[in-house]
Amino acid sequence: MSGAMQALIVAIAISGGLGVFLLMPRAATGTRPAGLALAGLSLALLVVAWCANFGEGDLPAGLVFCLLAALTVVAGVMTVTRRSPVSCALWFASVVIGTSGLFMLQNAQFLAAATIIVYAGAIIVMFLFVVMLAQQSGVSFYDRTPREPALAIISAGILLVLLLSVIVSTHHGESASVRPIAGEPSVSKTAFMSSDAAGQHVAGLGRSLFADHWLSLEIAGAVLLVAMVGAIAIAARKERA
Amino acid sequence: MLANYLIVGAILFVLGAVGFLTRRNMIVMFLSAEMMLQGVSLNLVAFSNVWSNWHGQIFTIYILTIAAAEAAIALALVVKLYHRRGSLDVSLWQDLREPDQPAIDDDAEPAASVPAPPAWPTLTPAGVEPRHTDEEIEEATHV
Amino acid sequence: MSDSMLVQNVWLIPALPLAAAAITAALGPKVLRERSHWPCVIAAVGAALFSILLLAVVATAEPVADAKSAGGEVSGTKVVYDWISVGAGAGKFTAPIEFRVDPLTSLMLVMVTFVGSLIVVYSTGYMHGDRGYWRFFAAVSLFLFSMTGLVLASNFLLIYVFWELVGLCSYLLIGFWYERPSAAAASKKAFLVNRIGDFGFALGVFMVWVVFGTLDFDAVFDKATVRFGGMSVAAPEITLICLLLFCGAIGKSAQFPLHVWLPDAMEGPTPVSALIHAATMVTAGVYMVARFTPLFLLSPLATMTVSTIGCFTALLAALIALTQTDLKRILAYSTVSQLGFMFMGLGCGARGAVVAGIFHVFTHAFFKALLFLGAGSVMHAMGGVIDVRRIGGLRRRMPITCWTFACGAAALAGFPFLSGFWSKDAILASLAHATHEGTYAVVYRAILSLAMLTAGLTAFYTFRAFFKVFWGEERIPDEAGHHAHESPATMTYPLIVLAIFSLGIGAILALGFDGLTEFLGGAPGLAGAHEVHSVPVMITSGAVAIVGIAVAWLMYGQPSTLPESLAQKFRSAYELSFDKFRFDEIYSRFIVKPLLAVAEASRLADIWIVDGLVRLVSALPAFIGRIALRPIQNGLVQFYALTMVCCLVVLLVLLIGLPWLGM
Repeated sequence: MSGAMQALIVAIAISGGLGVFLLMPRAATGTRPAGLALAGLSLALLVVAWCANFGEGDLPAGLVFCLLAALTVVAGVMTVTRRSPVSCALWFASVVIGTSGLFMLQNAQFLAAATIIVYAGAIIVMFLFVVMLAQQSGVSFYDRTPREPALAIISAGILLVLLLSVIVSTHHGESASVRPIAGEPSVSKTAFMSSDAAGQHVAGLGRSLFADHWLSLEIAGAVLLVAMVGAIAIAARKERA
Repeated sequence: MLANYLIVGAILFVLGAVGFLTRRNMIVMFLSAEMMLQGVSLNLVAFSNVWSNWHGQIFTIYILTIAAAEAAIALALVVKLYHRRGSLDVSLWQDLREPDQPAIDDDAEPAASVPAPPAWPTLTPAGVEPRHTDEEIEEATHV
Repeated sequence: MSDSMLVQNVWLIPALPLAAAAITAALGPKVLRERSHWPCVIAAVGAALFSILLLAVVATAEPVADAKSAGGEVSGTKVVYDWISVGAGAGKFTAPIEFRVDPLTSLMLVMVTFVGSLIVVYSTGYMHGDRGYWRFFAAVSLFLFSMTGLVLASNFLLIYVFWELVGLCSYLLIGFWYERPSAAAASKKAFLVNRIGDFGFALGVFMVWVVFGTLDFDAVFDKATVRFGGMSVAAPEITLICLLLFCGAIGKSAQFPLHVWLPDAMEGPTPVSALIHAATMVTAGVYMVARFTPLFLLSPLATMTVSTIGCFTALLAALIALTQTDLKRILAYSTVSQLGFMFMGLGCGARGAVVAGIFHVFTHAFFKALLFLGAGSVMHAMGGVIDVRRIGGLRRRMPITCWTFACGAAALAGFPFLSGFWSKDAILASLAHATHEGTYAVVYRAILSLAMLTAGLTAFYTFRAFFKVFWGEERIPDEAGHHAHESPATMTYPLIVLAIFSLGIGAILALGFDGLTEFLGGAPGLAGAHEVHSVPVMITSGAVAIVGIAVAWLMYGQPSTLPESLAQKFRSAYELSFDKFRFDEIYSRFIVKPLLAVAEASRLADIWIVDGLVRLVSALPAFIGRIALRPIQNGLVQFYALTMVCCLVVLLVLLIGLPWLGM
C-alpha cells in the first residue's frame, strides 16, 4: 500500500473524527458549519479513496456505488449526531435504504428487500413508538449533551485507521466479481448471478438455507419465539389491585 | 472494488460505535448498535459475492433475525427502565457503582439551548422538558 | 583414679538433685504439696554422703607423678556424654560433658552438699505454709545440681554453662516472692549485673580458645605452662585471659564494681540467702580463680589486680556495713567483705595463698550460713521484722539462736582460735609473705594494712549487730504476735550443727593445715604449695579482733549515747556510709538512664520507621485501588463500553499497528 493511500486514510479519519465531534449536539453554538465542512471534506476524501480502488470496467457500477455509499455514510453521520431521537430514527432509515441499495449491487436482492422490510418497516417503527411514548416533548436535556465524545471519537478514529489500512492493504485492487472457492461444489456463475429470474435467486437462497443451515434455522425460529414471549413478559404492566 | 464495500462497512461500524458510546438517549444508543450490525452485514454480503456462495447472505439473514429479536427485548427493557425513572437517560442508572464513589453528573455543562417553541396558539406551552429532581425520579412510577 | 567406682559414678552427685528438681516440679503442685521437700532432702543428703565418700577416696589416693608439677597430681575424669565434637585434626573442637575429680573439687563438693543439706532441712521449717513450697524446693534442687556441676566441670564451656545456670537459679530464688515488686526488681538486678560479669567471662573463654586451641582444663594448663612458663615478664595474652576470666568472678562474687546486686538479693527467703549468697554461689568466683591457678600464676599483674580489687571491695563493704540497720543487709555486706578477703588471699601470687583462700572459703561457708540461718530464725520469730532498731534483748526468749549466732559472729570476727581466725590469719600471712618479694611488693604492703583495718571493722560491725539484736532490754515489734519464741527443732538443729563446725573446724584444719596444704597440692597448679605461718600477723589479727569486739561492747552492749553522738559528729560520713556510697544512684544515673534512652529511641524507631514501612507497604495496594481502580467502577454502562473499546483499540494497535509501522 502506498504512502499516499495511507496518508489519505489518516486524513479521512482525522477530518471525519473532527467533523463528527463538532457535529455532536453541544452547548456551544456555531460549531455546526465547521463540523459540516469537515465532514464534507472527509466525504470527498473518501470518494477519492473509492475511486482509487476501482479496477477497470467498474466505472458505471462505480458511479452507482459511490452514490449509494455516500448516502449511507452521510446518513450514518446524521444518525449519530442529531439532537432529536425522531430525527435519528429517520436518518437510520436512510442508512438502511443505502445499505439495501448496496446489497442490491452485490446480488443480494432478497436481502435488500428483507432489510428494508424488517429494519425500516418493523424495527424503526417500534423505536418511534417508544420515543413517542416516552418523550413527547421531542428534545429533552439528555439529548443535548453527549457524554465524553472526545475519548470515544479518538479511539474510534484510531480503530478506523487500523481497519482501513488493513482492508486497503490486503484487498487493494481486487475486483468484487465472482471467484470460485476451490473444493466446494461449484455453483454455476449464472445460477448465482441471475437476477432476471427472481425465483431462482430466492429459491437458491432458500435451498441453501434449508439444506446447509437447517439447524441454525431451527434455532433462529426458537429465538424469535423466545424473544416474543420474553418481550411481552418483561414489558407487561403489573395489574393494580 | 471489494475494498470499497469493506471500507463502507468499516465506516458504518465505527460510526455506530461512536454513537453508542456518546449519546445518552437509550433509543439512539440502540439505533447506533443496529448501525454497527448493518456494517457487519455489508461486509458479509460483499464477501459472499466475492466467493459466490450463499453463506454470507444466510448469515446476514440470521443477523437480521437476531436484530429483530434483540430489538424487541431491548425495547421492552427500555420501557421498563422508563417506568422506573420517567426518563430515557442512561446516565441515571449508576446504582452498581462502588459504594463510596460519587455519582457522575453529566449535566455539569450547560446543555445546548433549544429554540423557543413557535408562538402558535397553544393551550399549554410545555416548552423543554426540565431536569428531573431526585425526588421526582424516585417517585415517578409511570409515564 | 579414674577407674575407681566412685569416680565412675561421680555424675550421680549432680544427677540426684536434678532428678529431685524434676520430680518436685512435676509432682509438687498437685501430688506432693506439703511433702515437696522430700525429694530435695533425699537428694541433698545423698549427694552429701557421696561427696564425703569421694573426699575419703581422694584423700587416700596416691598422687600421680606429673612431669610439670613437683608433687604430682591427683585427678580422675569421667566423660558422661560426648556433647560437642566437630572438626578433625588441628581445628578440632570438642566439649564433652566431662566431670573431673581432684582435691579441690572434692573439698568444694563436700562444702556445697553438706551446708546445702543442712539448709534444706532448715528451710522445711522456715518455709512451712508458704504458698510456693514446692517451687522453692524445685529451685533449690536445681541450684544444687548447677553448683555441683560447676564444681565438677572439666572444660571451659561446661563451666560456663553451669555458671549461667547458677545465675538462673539465683534469679528464680531471689524473686521467689515475685508478687513483691522489690523482690522482682532485685532478682532482675542480680541477673543483669551477673550477666555483665559473665560477658567478660565469655570473652575470656573465647580468648582461651583462640590462644590455646582447646577448652579442656588439663590441656589448657599444660599448654600454658609450656608456652608461657618461665617468662620474666608475663605475656599479654595470658594477662588478658586472666583478667577476663576474673570479670566473671567480679560479677558472680559481688566484687567492686558489680557488688550492687548482693545486698538487694536479700529480698529472697533467708535460707536462699544463706545457701546461695553466703556459702556457695558467691564462692563460685573464688573457686574459679583457684581452679585456674596455673593460668593466674603466670601473670603477676593479673593476681595483683585480683588482690587489689578484693581489698578495695572488702574495705568498701565493711565501711557500709558499719551503719546499716537491716540485719540481713549487714550480713550481706559482710559477705561481700569476706569475699574480698578471699580474693585478697588468692591474689597474692603464691600457691600457699591459694590454699589459704580456699581455706577461708570453707570456713566462711559454715559461719556465714550459720549467721544467716540465725537471722532467719530471728525473722521467723519476730513476724518478718529484721530492722535492728526495732528488736532487742532476745537472748532470753531465743537462747539457742542467740548463742549459735554468737558462735558464728565470733568466728566471723576472727576471735582467736575459732575457725575464722585460722583462715583469716592464713590469708594475712600470705599477704605478709607477698610483701617481701616480687614486683608489686609495695602494693601488697598497702593491701596488708588495709586488710588489718578491715578485720577490725568486721569484728566491730558484727558484734554491733549481735548486741543490738540480742542484748539490752527486750523489744518485740507488734508483728511478732504469738511467734516470739524459739524456733522449731527443724530450724535449731542445723544451727547447732553449724555452730559446732564453725567453732571446731578451724582448729582441726589449722592444726592439720599442713595436711590441708598437702591435700590440696593434688589439685592442678597447687602442687608444691608452701604453707605460711607468721606469728606476728597472728598476734596482730587476734588483737585487732578483740579490740573491735570491745569497742562494739562499749557502744552497743550497754546503754550508751556514743553511737548517736558519733553519728552526729561525722554526719556526712555517716550518711555516705548509710547510703551505700550512692553506688546505685550513680549507676542509675550514668548507665541505666542512658541505656533506657537508647531503648526508647529504638522503640520509637521501631514504631515510626519499621512499622511505618510495613504500614506503607500494606497501604500501597489500598491506595492504588482507591485512587486508580475504584473510580473505574462507576456503574455507567457507557463508560464500561468505552473502556472496552479503548482497550480493544490498544490491543489492535499493539498487534497490527506497531508491526506495521516497523516497531
